[in-house]
Amino acid sequence: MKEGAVIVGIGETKVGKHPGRNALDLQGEAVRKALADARIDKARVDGVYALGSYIQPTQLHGLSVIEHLGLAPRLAEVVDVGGTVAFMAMIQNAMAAIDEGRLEIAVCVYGDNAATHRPPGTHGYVARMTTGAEEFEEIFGSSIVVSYALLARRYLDLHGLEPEDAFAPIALAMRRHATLNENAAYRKPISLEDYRASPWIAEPFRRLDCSPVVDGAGAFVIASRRVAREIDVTPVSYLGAGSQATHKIVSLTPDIPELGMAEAGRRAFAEAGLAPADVDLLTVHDGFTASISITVEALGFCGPGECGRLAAEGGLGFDGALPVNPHGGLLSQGHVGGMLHVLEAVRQLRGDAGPRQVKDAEVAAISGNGNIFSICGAMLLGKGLA
Amino acid sequence: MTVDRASTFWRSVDRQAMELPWCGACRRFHFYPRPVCPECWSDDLDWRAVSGKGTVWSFTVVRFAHGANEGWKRRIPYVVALIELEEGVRMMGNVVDCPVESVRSGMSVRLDYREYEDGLVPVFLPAE
Repeated sequence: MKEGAVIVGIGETKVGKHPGRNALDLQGEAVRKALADARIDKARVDGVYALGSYIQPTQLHGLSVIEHLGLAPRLAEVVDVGGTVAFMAMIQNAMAAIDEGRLEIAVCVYGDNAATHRPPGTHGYVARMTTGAEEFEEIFGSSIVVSYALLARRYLDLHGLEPEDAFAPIALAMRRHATLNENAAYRKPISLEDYRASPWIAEPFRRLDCSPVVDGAGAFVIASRRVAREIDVTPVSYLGAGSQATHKIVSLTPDIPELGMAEAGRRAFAEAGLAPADVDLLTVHDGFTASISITVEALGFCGPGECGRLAAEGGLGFDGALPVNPHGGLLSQGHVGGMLHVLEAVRQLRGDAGPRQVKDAEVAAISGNGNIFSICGAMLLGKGLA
Repeated sequence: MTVDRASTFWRSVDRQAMELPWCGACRRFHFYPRPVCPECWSDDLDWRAVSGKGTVWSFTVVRFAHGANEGWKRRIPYVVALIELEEGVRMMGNVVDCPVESVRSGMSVRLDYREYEDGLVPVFLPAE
């Protein structure tokens, strides 16, 4: 366990639609809020870790952020790893730099405007597929949804499950959480009947299995313990992490049991000296319902093929045995790349989550994948100065 | 998306005799084609025709298209599958000439070719 830097501030914009605002503007708002939350003056920021818009891509995005906000840090780095794993990498990079004395205070930020600024002919969070090797996938009518649907079909076949049993309870659990989050884009309660009536997109996915794109941004602040002691907020500590990359396009995916998630989880738990049973809540990068099944099972929180049943029994609820995405996740809060999964873990550990607060939350896990389970990661965070 | 019709792979498709790169050093195929073997980094690559026999590893019936697959709206419903070729590699392709409801994981398929907007492409048909 490291005796290192800690997370001391979080900030997020409204999640929904922000017509007329670009991703940089949204990211700027999130950074301002995160620094205000940490009660740290912008002049003290000496590191920036940022991921630019996937919708309107730019180069040297770190420099765009610092200029936009009038910052003058020692370092402004772009971290483009994939999904929530990018934000785990920001945490690790910033903490390492601080622990080595190169920096003292870093801000990490991502946000996008996928709901209002997506160019025609693009998909989800990416312009075209942008996964490489498009001429061997896109030419067959593929897309991000199609890619995940292929993994989801494989998952159902491996375990002999039907989507109504495996995936519907997960969609319902995320929506229930979103009803408790004022900053969720989709808060209307849904039932199993609503799920059944939801149109097919790419079987086995119905619309309610897919996360909606939104506009929004989130940011967090990492500082040395010395700085953290000056600030009157509950710090959140790093306990351990692991990640594993295996491929890029879905054609080259390993089979479900060999995806990088299990290895990522083993490393994270080994470093932290913890086991799944020690985790009070989990945030999972949930581009699709099946993402939660695959992730939760690979990390050892339940057996292979059991996540749907766990969800149906209420197990994934903020008040259940394994709270997952109390903020509603990408599925019902809206897809902000997984950045808000980090913020929710911090909020829960501080005890600031209001009506969806997980009782006695002391250890949280962040988990997720980038692209199509191309890179997987898990990170354990703890309340206070661990 | 740019399809490099002048590449060895797409030229073989145009001849309706699909070839894949085979590594002379580690003696295996890889897909999609890369300039060196991704396994052993040898550039001793030989292009060999495939048997055309394969098995569906996973599949999806696409019933809604937008964005990246917008141009596919008129083909809905269509099947996108991952096919394990007899040569030990997996590739994406459409399963055609059968009801979409009849496609299953594990079913045997055979390679064929169809004319799409950009030219001939490999497709897969039920083997039986």
